[in-house]
Formats: sequence, C-alpha cells, structure tokens
Amino acid sequence: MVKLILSSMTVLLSSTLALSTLLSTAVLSTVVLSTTASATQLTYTENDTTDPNNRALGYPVPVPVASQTPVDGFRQYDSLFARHQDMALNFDSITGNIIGQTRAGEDIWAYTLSDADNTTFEGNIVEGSMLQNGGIHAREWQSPEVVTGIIERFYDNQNDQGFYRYLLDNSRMIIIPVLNVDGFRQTQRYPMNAVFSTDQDDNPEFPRDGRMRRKNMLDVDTDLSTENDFLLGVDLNRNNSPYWATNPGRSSNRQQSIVHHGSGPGSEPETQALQAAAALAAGTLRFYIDTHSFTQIYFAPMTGNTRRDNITASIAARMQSVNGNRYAYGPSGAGAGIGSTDEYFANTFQVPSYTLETEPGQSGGTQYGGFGVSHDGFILPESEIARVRNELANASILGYYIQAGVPSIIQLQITRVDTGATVYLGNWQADSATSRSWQETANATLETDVNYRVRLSFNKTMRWRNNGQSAQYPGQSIAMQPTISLEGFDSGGNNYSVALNNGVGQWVNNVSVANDGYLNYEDDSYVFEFTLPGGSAVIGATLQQLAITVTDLAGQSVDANPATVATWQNGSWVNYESSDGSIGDIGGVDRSIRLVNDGSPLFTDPAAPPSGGGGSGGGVTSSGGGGSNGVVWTIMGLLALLARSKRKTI
Amino acid sequence: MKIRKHFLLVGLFLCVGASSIAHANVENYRLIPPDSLNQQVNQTKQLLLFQKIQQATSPLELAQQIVRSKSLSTVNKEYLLFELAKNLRITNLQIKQANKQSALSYIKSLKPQLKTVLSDGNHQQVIIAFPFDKAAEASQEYLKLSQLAEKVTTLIQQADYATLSLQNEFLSLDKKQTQLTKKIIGQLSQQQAEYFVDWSLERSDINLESKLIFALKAKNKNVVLNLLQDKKSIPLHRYLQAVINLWSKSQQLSAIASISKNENYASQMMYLVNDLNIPREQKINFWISQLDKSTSGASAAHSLAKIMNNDLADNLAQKSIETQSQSFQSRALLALNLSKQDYAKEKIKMLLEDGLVSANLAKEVSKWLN
Repeated sequence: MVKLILSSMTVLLSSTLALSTLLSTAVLSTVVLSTTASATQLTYTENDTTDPNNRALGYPVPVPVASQTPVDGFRQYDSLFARHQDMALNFDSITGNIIGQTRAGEDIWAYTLSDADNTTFEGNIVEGSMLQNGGIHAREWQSPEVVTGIIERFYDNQNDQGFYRYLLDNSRMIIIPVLNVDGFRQTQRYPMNAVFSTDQDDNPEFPRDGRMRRKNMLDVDTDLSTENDFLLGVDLNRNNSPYWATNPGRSSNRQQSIVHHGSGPGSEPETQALQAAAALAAGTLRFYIDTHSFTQIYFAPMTGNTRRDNITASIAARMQSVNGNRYAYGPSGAGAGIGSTDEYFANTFQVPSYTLETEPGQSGGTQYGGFGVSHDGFILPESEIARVRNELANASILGYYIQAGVPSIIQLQITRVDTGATVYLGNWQADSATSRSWQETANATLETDVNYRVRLSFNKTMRWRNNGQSAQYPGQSIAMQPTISLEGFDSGGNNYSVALNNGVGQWVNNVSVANDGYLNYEDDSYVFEFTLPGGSAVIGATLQQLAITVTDLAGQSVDANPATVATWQNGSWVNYESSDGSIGDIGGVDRSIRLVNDGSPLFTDPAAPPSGGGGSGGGVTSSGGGGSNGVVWTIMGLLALLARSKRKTI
Repeated sequence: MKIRKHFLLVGLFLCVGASSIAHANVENYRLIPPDSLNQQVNQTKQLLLFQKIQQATSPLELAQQIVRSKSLSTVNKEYLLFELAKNLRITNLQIKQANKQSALSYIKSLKPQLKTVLSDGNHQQVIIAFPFDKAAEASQEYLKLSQLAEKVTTLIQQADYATLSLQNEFLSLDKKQTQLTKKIIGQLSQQQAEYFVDWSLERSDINLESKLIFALKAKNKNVVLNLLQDKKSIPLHRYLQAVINLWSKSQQLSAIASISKNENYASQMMYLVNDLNIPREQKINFWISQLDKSTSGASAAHSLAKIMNNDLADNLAQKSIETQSQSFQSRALLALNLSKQDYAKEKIKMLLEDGLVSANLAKEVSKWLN
C-alpha cells in the first residue's frame, strides 16, 4: 500500500513539476497580459526582449531543418518522411506501413524493423514485437527525432552481423515516427510563435497552438490569428481506454482544455492508428514506449500483475542505467489512470509500458543555460538533440533486446586443438514453438593431457562491441566472463567440480574456422580451451555435466532449461527456468548439457544436499541416496565439500 | 566634506609630484605611499602620475626601470606596471609593428607581477593591455584568477584586437564557445576575421563551428571548404546560405558538390540548390546526378519532387528504366511519389505494371498507390 501511495505521489509530483517551472514566469506576465483582450501571439527569440510579447530563450530558437540525414537540429516533417521512406526503400529489413490517416487526411506511417519471417532464427519459435510511438504531442520535437534515430541506428548498421542483426532476425520492432502529423506540421509552420492562452484552466502566460500545439487538429485551422479555434483539438494521450475520462483533474471534457480527452475512448483517428500499429505485432507485443518530452523520466503504469510490474521496473532500471541514471522512474498505481497510451498498452496487452519524457529535466531550458521562460522545456536547444538521439536510441534498443528473448544455450562443440577433430557436438533443436530437443552428433571420451577447444553458443548476441573490443553495453555492468565448470560424480561416487574456462575465454565475432568463431551472430559464442591433467576426477566419472553461469549483455541469466522454450505470455515469461527448475523471470545456472549422463534429474547440483522438490527428470542419481534421510545427506554433502576443496581444479 | 577636502589636498600633492618627475626616472614614485596611491587612483581616477608614462617615447624602457627599481615597493611596482600596461594598449599596434619581438619578450617578463595585479578584480582591464599575440597566454593566467563568465560580456563590448583575442581564449575554455563566437563576430572587420581564422585553425580546442564562423566572415573560401571536408558535424543549416554566397553563381554548384562529399552535409546541400539563382535545368541535372548517392540521394529526390512536372516525371521514369542502380531507381520513384502529382503516380504505376521495378522495391512502392 505504501508503495502504491508513493508511486502515485511520484507521478503526481513529476507531472506537477513538469509545469512548475512554467508557473514561475507566469506570474510576472499576468500583469502585462491583464490588459490584453485575447489570443495575443508571442514570439520566441534567442535574447531579444524589446517587444513585451517576446520570450527570450537564452539559446537560438530551433527552426525546422531541411535535411534527411540527422543534424544538430530538428528536421522538417517532409524531410523526416522522405528519410523514412528512403530507408524503407533501401534496406530490406525496414518496411513502411500505413496505419491510418489523421484528421486532415494525412497518412500515418509505422515502420517495421525486422526480417521477412515471423520466427526466430531457430525456426519454430515466434518472434516477439516491440512498439515505440513518437510525435503524439505536437510540440515535443524531441520525440520524432529520437524515434527516427532508432530507425537510423538500424539503417546505419545494416551490415552488422551481431547485435543489430540479431534483433532484426529475432524480433519485430515497430516505430511510429510521428503519430500526430497534423499537429506536428502546425508547430513547424510557426517555429517561433505561439498564442497566449485564454483558457480558463491555463495561466495567461501559458502558450498554446503554433509552436506550442500539443493536441491534434480537430476543428482547428492552421491560421494562428483566428481566435475561436486555437485552443481546440484532442489530447491524444487522454483519448485511450481503460481510464478514459476517469480523472477530471488531469483530463477534461472541455474542448478548449489542453488535456481534452475527446468524445470517447479511441475517438480520434490518430489513436486508432496507434492501435492499428499494435495489430502489426499480430499478438506478439512485449514492449511499448510512448516518447514525449520533458522532465527526463520513465513513467510506467502498474497493472497489478505483479510479475509484469516487476519486469517493467527491472527493464526501466536497465534503460536508466544506460544514461547514467539521469532519467528517473515513475511507476503509477494500478487501477487508475488518465487515459494515456501507456495505460492502454499496459492493461490491454500486459506488457512493460512506458511514457518516456526526454530531456530536459524539470528545470527546462535552464538546464542548458536558458533563461527559463514558460514551457521552454519543449524547446530543446538544437545543439543537444544529436546527443539525446544517440543516448535514447541506446536505452530503447536495450529494452528491445531484453524483451526479444531470454538467453539460452543452443550448442556445445568440443574439438581437439591438435587435430581439429570434434569430440563432442550437441545442440538444442527447436521442435516446436515451445520445445527443444538435444541433438547429440558426437560424443567421444575426454582424455587427459589433451588440449580441447570449447565453443559454447547461445540463441542471441551476448556481448556488445566497442571499437571492435568486447565491452559493456553503455551503462551496464555485467560479468563479462561466464563461469563454466564440469561437475558430477567421479568413479568413486564422490561429487566433483572442476573449473574449465578460468575467465580466460573470449566472446567471438569472427567467422569460425576451427571451432573458434561465432555460430549465427557475432558474439553469440564463447570460446575457451582446457586440458584435463592426469588424475582428474572427470576421467571415468559417472556424471559429467556442465554448469554454466552467464548473463546476456543486459544482465539476464540463461534459461536453465532450454528444453522448454521461454516465451512471453500475459505479462511474464513462460518456461524461463531458474537453477532449481522453477519457472520465473530471472533464469539461473544451466546444467542441461551432459557429456556423460547418469540419468539423474536435470538442474541437480551434485554438491548440493538433496531437497524435496526441484529437478524435472525424476530419475535417481548414480550416487544413489534416493530415500535417504536428511542427516545422512548432510554428512555426505559435507564430505563431498571437503573432498572437493582438496581437489585441484584445472 | 572633510574627506573631499582631503582628496583635493592629496590631488594637489599628486599634481605637484607628477610635475616634479616629468622626464625623470620613476624612483620619484617612492614619495607616494603605496596605500594612498592605490586608494587615490581607484577613487579619483586621476592618473596624473602616468601622463609621463603615456608620453614616454619608450614605454618599455620605462617599464624596465620600474621593474629594476630597488626603492619601489612591490605594490607600487605592480600598480605602475598595470598602468603601463594600459598605456601599451594604446600603443599596441605601433609596438607590434616597430619592435614586436622585444615587446613580446618584455611583456612576458612582466607576467609574474601582472599576475598579482590580475588577482585584483578591479584591475581586470589590464588583460586588454597585452599585445595582441600574447593576449591568449595572458588570459590563461587571468582565467585562473577570476570568475570568468560575467566579465566576458564586458570585454565583448570592447572590440579591439586584444580584447577579441582574449574573448576567443575564453571561448576555447568555455562550453559556450560557439555562442560567444557568434556574439563577437559582428564586431570583427574582414581583416580582423582573417587573423582569427589563422589563430583558430592552429588550435584544437576551438570548435569547428567557431572556425567556420571566422572563415565565413573573412570570406576565406579555401578554409571554408577544408573545414567542411572535416567529418565532424557542425550545425550547418544556420550557415548554409552564407557558405554558398561565398562563391560566384557559376561556381556554386561545384562548391555544393564538393561540400556534399562530407556525408554530414550532403543531405542539406541538396536542398540548398533550390535557392540558387541558376537555370532550372542545371538544378535538375545536378539533383539527378546525386540520386544514387547514399547520403544525398534521398534529399535530391525530395528536391526534385518539389519542382516536379510532367516532363520531369517522364525523364525520371525513363532514367529509372535505363539505370542498373537500385538506389537510383528507388530515389527516382521516391521523387515521383513525394511530388503527389497524379501524372507522377501514373508513372509509378506504369513502372510497376511493366515489371520494371525489382520485387523488393515494388513491395514498398506499391503502398504509395493505395
């Protein structure tokens, strides 16, 4: 309850603070405007305050730039559109889709970033989908640039064979660059002008229409000087179920209100287009972001689905860390809302769903040395947008990566370094959307004093590269080296565990020549070498199983049981097993690969005392002990630990 | 009232003192207590003592005497050097021309004392006394000693060589370098701007945009071109027209083509062609020549769309059939579509129906016709 209250307070506080900076300047202007009849226009300037209706920002007023490539500035809608179309024409993995029309009849486009099929590279496993919306609020120019930056990131990396190619092949990313096309065009028509509000709920200093239009263009013409319509339009982020028109404080039935919710949930064609974009996901949606500005925060509605809510927080933490935690996290309480799109996606699809408020923070333009005029947070200086584009592409794409799928081991190959001969080869083959089977095509006995090369391959790119070197993804801090050991019961029935890689292997991005390169995507494989010394407990062991502890580049542990395919369903992962075989959302240690199998249950740590639960195989371990009492097991466990501590690891 | 009388007396005393040291060496300054000297000068602004300094034919020699003096206190030496430096401001250019090297050497030798003076906020103006070439070095010292931000604005108002040089030193160290460059550029003559072009090009800590601003002001086309070949990005859209205006009408297209080699600007340069006062056919041919370029092709298509007519639609459709380049074809089709003209749409339809568009491309293009 306390958490819920705090969450609610966070949202309320954040949304209040978003406007708090605007209020400070409003008081001064009230005096000036008290004699103004109505609908006085204002002009944004860099530092010219000679006219009382000028509002000096303290930095150059951005004007739309005619450029298709990204610049230090905000591009014209026509240029952005041509850019999007061009990328779709010249990169097979980008597809344009018309998802609807605006009030003025303009096409609204969504771009799908994916390969042609709907399954992962493994064949039978269905890809998950992500949706990111941009430009729902017209004046928030940061938004179309940020989401276009995501498309451009993939376009620019179309020859990549690692991280980006993995995402394109194994997920479907749907990006809407500008949902509120009419409103966005209106803001770009008047980049330096707006109109002082005359609405009863607004402070007279608040700017509306022109550069500061937020809503769509329902019943609005493009002429700033016509005074009877400039306040009209529908706030598309109040036009959504399930909480449409349920919060009179933050959404209004008055058409002039800045947060007018429209005539009904989904009444606006732009809202319907957003829902049509979700339909492109064909029931596989796993993630949603609505991109706004400003206040620098990830708002996230809670739904009461505990696992979904926890995953939402966990992914937010990862995205926040990408940019040094300069973005806050603002969960809201379940069971209430304002009619926003993030609520619609959270509750309708049970996916992690966010309203991302980009830079600046609550201090608005003063963050960049600006003078702090009302609403200047919506006018990001041109000099900042390239950085913001890049930073938020990193953050969102990490979110996509997390939701694209949990990491899972799919192949193990062991070769002799001296001869190149394969002594072990097995892989998990996807038989269906939900199951894999282990296919073993080589299995020779390991010998002492032979140098072996191991390549362990996963179902996703596991590491990031920076300047060609394996590196942390921006802002992340994971263990770069997996921990891999061979464990089981030796010929005497004692448990053993020998470390194999000792932290000296490497993630590979080269084409494999001698079991030393990647399998499907760069950095999907880890390669290391080992030698068993004479007298190793491994020789002659009745159980030889690998214990593999590793996370992907976002810190997700591997699925401990690849036999059941982890997938997303109703707000959480299904078949994502932990070390003990239990299903959850965190994964664990993979103990699914056995070079010598004694038939004992999977997920069993030979060194661990037996427990009542756990294990899916239902067999009995070769060391016996089924039905033994706890005291005996405890003593055996202690003996085993003592024996292991004396054993030399390799 | 008593205080005022006191100052009058002191002023009289100073006048007498000053006349007594006319054409004499500066040892006479010892007659004036250091504290009262500073006080009087600061409060009355009557720098009578330094009339002689200002009249001196060799201020450097005079300064040497100050430094070597064994009878002057440190405070007095510093103050006198400060005033001497102010004098040098006046004769700065003359010194540079006459005996630049010795002036620079000498000022350098003064630096330890001047540093102390500079620590006094009231004496910040001394910075502008430094010879042009050394102002940057001096300002580094200044920067260590004072809070910079508020003073920059004041200095900007005083546009002489030394001040401007200082400002740019500040720029090199300030996050708002470009913003400040823009503020001072209006005060520069073309000749002064040329100095800053040379000066800024030698410095890695001056950003590319500031360098470009100086080069534009100096109308230095070679430097502008070289700067724009740099792969770094400048928010160029604010300068584009100025850039192009450097060239004569007949050379503007080739200049644009040259700048377009930098992928950061290629896209923007295509749009700029529209504003050139050159024949329409030249523009069209230029844009068409750019269609298959990865960085400028889409913008060229967009530009063609804006001036589309039936002839151009025919031309693009024909070239689209003839060319083997898919990127050219995709941009030609994009231009036809962006024009939103019925005739152009018909051309797209014809190309699709005749199977003249590759399958992948046709898949995307067909969406335009729905």
